[in-house]
Amino acid sequence: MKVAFEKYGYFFRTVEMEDASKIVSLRCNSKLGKYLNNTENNIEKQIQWLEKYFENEQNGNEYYFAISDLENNVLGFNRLYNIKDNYFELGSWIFDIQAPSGAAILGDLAVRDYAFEILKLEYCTFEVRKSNKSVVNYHLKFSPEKLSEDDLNYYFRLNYVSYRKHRDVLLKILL
Amino acid sequence: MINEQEFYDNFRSEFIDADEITIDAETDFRKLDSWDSLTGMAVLVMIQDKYTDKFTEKEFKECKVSGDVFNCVNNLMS
Repeated sequence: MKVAFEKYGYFFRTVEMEDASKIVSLRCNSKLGKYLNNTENNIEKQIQWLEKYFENEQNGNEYYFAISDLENNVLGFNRLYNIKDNYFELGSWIFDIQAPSGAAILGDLAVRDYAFEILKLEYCTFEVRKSNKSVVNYHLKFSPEKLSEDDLNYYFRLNYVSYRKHRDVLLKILL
Repeated sequence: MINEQEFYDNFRSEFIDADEITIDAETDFRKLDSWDSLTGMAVLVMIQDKYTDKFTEKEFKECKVSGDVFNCVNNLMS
C-alpha cells in the first residue's frame, strides 16, 4: 500500500523505483553508509531489491519511506519492516549530509509515529552497530529494553510509552 | 549563576569520545572530530534536562564556541 503524508515540516512517501539511484548514492557514501548493511554501487541491483520490496509493501509488511523537504528534494530514507503481530523493525535510516539540522531526527520520529500511531503497533525492535556510538547514544535516550548483543550489534526493543516520552522532549526542541 | 565548569563537564559527557576531549569556553565544538547532529541534539536535551527548557535550537545554531552556549543558558536562567 502506497503511503504519503506531511509531518513536522517534511514530506513522507513510500519509495518509488526512481529513488533507486538516490538510495545507492547515499548508502554507498563511505561516511553515511558506514554502519549499514553493505550495498553494492549498482543501481540495477537496487532496482531488483526494490521489486521485492514492493511485494512486501503491497502486503503491508514493509514501508520504505523517502523523506523530502516541501520543495520535493529527497533528503533521506527510513524503513519499517518485518511488520507482524504487534511489532515492527526499524532500519535503513540514512540522510544526506546536506540535509537541514534536525531533519534526520524528525524523519526518524515521523516514521515511528506512523508505525505506532497509524498502524497501531506496540513495539519497535532494532539493531544498532556497537561502533556507531552516536546512534547508540541517540537510541538509549528513549530507554529501550536491550534484548541481546553480539560482537557487532546491540538488539533493542522499545514500547510506545517510552518512545513517546522522549519523542516529546525532542519535538519541543526541534519544532 | 550556574557552575561554569560543571556545565562544560556536562556538555563534554554528551560526546561519544568524552574521555578523550576537553571542552572549555573557547572550544569550537562543531569542529571536534566526533561532532555530529545527534551529538548536538544530545547536548540540547542535556540542557533541557539539567538547566532550562527555554534554550532553543535556533539559539544553539548561533553559538560558535562552548562559552557562547554557557552564556546564553546562564542568561536565560538569570
